[in-house]
Amino acid sequence: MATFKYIDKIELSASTTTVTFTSIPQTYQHLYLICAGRSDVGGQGDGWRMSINGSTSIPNGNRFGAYYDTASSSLTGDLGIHTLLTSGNAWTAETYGTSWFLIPNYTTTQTKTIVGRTMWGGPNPTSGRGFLVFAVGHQPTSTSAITSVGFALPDSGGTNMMAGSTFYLYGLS
Amino acid sequence: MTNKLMKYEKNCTTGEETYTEFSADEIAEYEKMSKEIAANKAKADADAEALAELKASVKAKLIAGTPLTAEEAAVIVL
Repeated sequence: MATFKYIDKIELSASTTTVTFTSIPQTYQHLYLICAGRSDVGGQGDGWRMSINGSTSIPNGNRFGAYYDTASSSLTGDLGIHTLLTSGNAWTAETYGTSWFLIPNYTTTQTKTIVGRTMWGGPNPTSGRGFLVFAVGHQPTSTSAITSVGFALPDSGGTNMMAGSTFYLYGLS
Repeated sequence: MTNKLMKYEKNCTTGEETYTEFSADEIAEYEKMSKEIAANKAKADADAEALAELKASVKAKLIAGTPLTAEEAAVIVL
């Protein structure tokens, strides 16, 4: 019988520059990660690199995505470096960017392609309309079994993930 | 560096939580990566601005019936 099992949760009580699940049990087939994050950036939102086994290395072409902005009714390809979007201080307090990621076959030593969806906190707080939603793919450079997953290196001017941000890790088997 | 750089880790096997300051080496690496990120972002912004200017030029020439350059034509060829 298939199972979808809670592994662990992080709820930040203080701001932090990196957040990481370590020593992930190697007993499931896939991992599922759910995030609700807010950054200390002054603007609308921030982008974060996914950290796999402590590495944030992302060669060109290994991180790709696309976003649909309802403000401009446009679909745009993206080759940025961030995988996780979080809301920023331009948004109402307690507004978090929401995301999920599927990390398939994480215990194998084959190439793994992580897929997910991430967005800022809601309709654009500057224009007052539209969502910014990214479909993302991320292929870690290393083929080692994944024992830690996290986020680091905000790239839009922020430094920290804010208190109240939450991260849930589940195992599928 | 005005903000203290902190790292948070949750050990999924033991449940242990650690919240520690970056080491000097980690700060140096962070600052190096941050500079690279800023440089990449500046280049991406400049590229986007150049493309917007090129598109504006294409639009103006199409409206005026003026021949396009090869670079401008490439913008509208799917």
